[in-house]
Amino acid sequence: MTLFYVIGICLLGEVAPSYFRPNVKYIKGASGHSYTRLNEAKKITDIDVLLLGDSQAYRGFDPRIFKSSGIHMFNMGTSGQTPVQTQLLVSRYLQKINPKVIIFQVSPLMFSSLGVESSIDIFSNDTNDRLSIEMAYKINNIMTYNTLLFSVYENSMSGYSEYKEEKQKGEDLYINGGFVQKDISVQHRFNKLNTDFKLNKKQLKYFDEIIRLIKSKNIKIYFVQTPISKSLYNRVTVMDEFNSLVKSYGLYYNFNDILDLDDSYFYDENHLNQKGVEIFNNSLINSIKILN
Amino acid sequence: MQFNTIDFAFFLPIVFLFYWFVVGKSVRLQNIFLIIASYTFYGWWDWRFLFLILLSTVVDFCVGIGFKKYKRDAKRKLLLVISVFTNLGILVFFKYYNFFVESFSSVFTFLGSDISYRSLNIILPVGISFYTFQTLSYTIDVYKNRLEPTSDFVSFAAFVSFFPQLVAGPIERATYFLPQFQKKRHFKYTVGVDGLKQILWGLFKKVVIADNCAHYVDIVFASSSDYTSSSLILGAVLFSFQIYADFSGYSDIAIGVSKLFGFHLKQNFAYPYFATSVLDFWRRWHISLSTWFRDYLYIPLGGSRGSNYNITRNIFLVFVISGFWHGASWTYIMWGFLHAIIYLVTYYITKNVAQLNSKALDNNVFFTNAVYCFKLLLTFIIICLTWVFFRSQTIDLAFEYISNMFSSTIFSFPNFIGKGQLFSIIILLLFFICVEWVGKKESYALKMIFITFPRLIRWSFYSLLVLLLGIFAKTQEVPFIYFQF
Repeated sequence: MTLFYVIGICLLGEVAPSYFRPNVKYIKGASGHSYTRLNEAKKITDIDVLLLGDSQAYRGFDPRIFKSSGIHMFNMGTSGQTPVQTQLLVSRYLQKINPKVIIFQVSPLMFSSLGVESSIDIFSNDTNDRLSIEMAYKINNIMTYNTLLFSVYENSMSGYSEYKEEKQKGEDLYINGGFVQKDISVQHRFNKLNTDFKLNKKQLKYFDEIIRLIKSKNIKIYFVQTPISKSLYNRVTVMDEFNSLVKSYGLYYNFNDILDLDDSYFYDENHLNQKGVEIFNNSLINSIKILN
Repeated sequence: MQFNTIDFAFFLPIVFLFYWFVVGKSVRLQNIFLIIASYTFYGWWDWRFLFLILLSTVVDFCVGIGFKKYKRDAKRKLLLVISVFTNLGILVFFKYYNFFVESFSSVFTFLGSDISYRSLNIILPVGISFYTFQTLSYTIDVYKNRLEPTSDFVSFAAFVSFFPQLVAGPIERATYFLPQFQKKRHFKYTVGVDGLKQILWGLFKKVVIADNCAHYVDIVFASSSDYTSSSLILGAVLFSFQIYADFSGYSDIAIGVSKLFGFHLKQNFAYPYFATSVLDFWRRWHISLSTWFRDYLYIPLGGSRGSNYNITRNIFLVFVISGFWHGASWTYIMWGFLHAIIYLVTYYITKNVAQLNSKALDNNVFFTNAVYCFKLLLTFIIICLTWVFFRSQTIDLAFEYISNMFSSTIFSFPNFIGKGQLFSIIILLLFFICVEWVGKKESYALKMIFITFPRLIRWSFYSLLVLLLGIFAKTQEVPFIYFQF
């Protein structure tokens, strides 16, 4: 029965259209350029700043702006990244990348999600090892197990590095250093996001473990909340609880309190457009410089 | 705890092993262990409501003892009243208090005098409608001298709280089920395998069919006015499959799990969508509840004896109360009311109108099959339409839903689902219908399928079901619909 199941998953993943295999969501080169970013992460060493977080990170922190201030930054945000995925990426890359400072982009959303979809992004776009199995076990969801199984099969069949991801995908342009630029003129209709967030205890536990690990390596860590549209910020009911929680871990910059950006600086409710990124990044760099 | 959770996947084997290998030598120890397991199972959801089960158990046990002690009618009646009031009192308070208060308030407002009222924030204890009916069957049967009252509290408590059927039935009669707790159970390999197969089929129904239909049903019923007629028709059909697969899936798992512990529960669903009339449907749908109402309400009211007025009244009462049993909402009452009307119409037609088809036509296989298919389809359409009232938030929304089902957009492509998704759900439903059709002579569809084939083919089929479970299971557990009742 187990053999039948394994063969079935591999076969369906290979030949069936996505609607016939909803729990095998293997997406190599998904939106967000995770494949290119994680491939680049394998070649990076000894940088100034490592950035962790979700799509607000890889769409909100531009390494070119940091470089113009003399800071070598690598953005390791992935779509929907929650502390479970951050823990895996930190365990997998921290020693090699060896950053002086870590900027941890945080938001209530990443603490309320189970992390299923975001784990799939990493299984599909990174090499898999013991840490992948650990992450699947932590999430304990049938979709993660199936996708991990298929990812292992797929990488062993076609090879991880055979794939070539386009740098320009629709309105998204991948910039070396992990950033994804959305054209400055793009402004989508603001769909109202569901903000019924509840901070997940498991995610808080993993977050705590990550911070302990980073601090044990004497790496400086700053927590940053990127600006989101005012209407979204005001709708998140757990925001105060969340802010005081993050503050308890160290230096925390909530740029929703620092900057006053109207909707023209966003391309949707929770992502900055390039105009917003420039203002936000310069303000962040100034804040860090003042501090140091 | 729910059957479709990881928690239960660990709970069941642990309880099974302990039950047969640690306490297996003594019936009393097995029953004590079943009580502990059942209370753990229920308390996993909310331990505070365990006291209600305990209260129901203690009251009905004592009432049973009282029946044995007192022979005079007056005292026996008083004891029966105590049991009925306790059980129905718990049910009415937790399930119907707010409904009654709000409904009375609406009536007074309608009559022009506003009254102030306070609705309470009451949590509905899971399965309350099921276990109260099961314990009531015990006291009524003992009162009617159909059953000897038990003096063994342990076996009685195990009977009331037996975890596989505690929260959503089947509602078992004490006359049939209680004796099973009083005699030694033996594990039989063939029965165990049969139980596992039934669990697998139940899980397939729930996780693959019901939960995948639920996804689309929720979308359509959340804002039905946004969708085309074809979408609304598809939504109603999907809900029909969802509720059947969800509830009969639960029953299959409950019956299968019971088999693992050496108990036999009665069949609760007999392929209701293969019914050829609404009368036939009610012989096949939620059999344990239908027969409960038949035996403890319909027959005491006079049943099918007496004048047409009496029969009509009795059928109306049974259906409306049965609808109300499902939930404290006018939509359920309306659902029961509609079924009463359709049932009565069918009842009087079949009773009074002579058979139209001649012998010559009866012998015509094509004609017989065509009539059979027509009846089957017509019954299914009627049942689908009544389910709209069951699923809608209000009666007004249900009428609006049904009226919007018939418009010029009836032939357009449903606008709530992609072509691929529609194709995949249709394939799943066709597979499900085929298996049910092939296995419809058995107590559950999977029972005899491929039974004469080589083991490899049989196991490949079971493995396919497991694969479909893994492929189509929702990433977040979807509760069983009947848990809310």
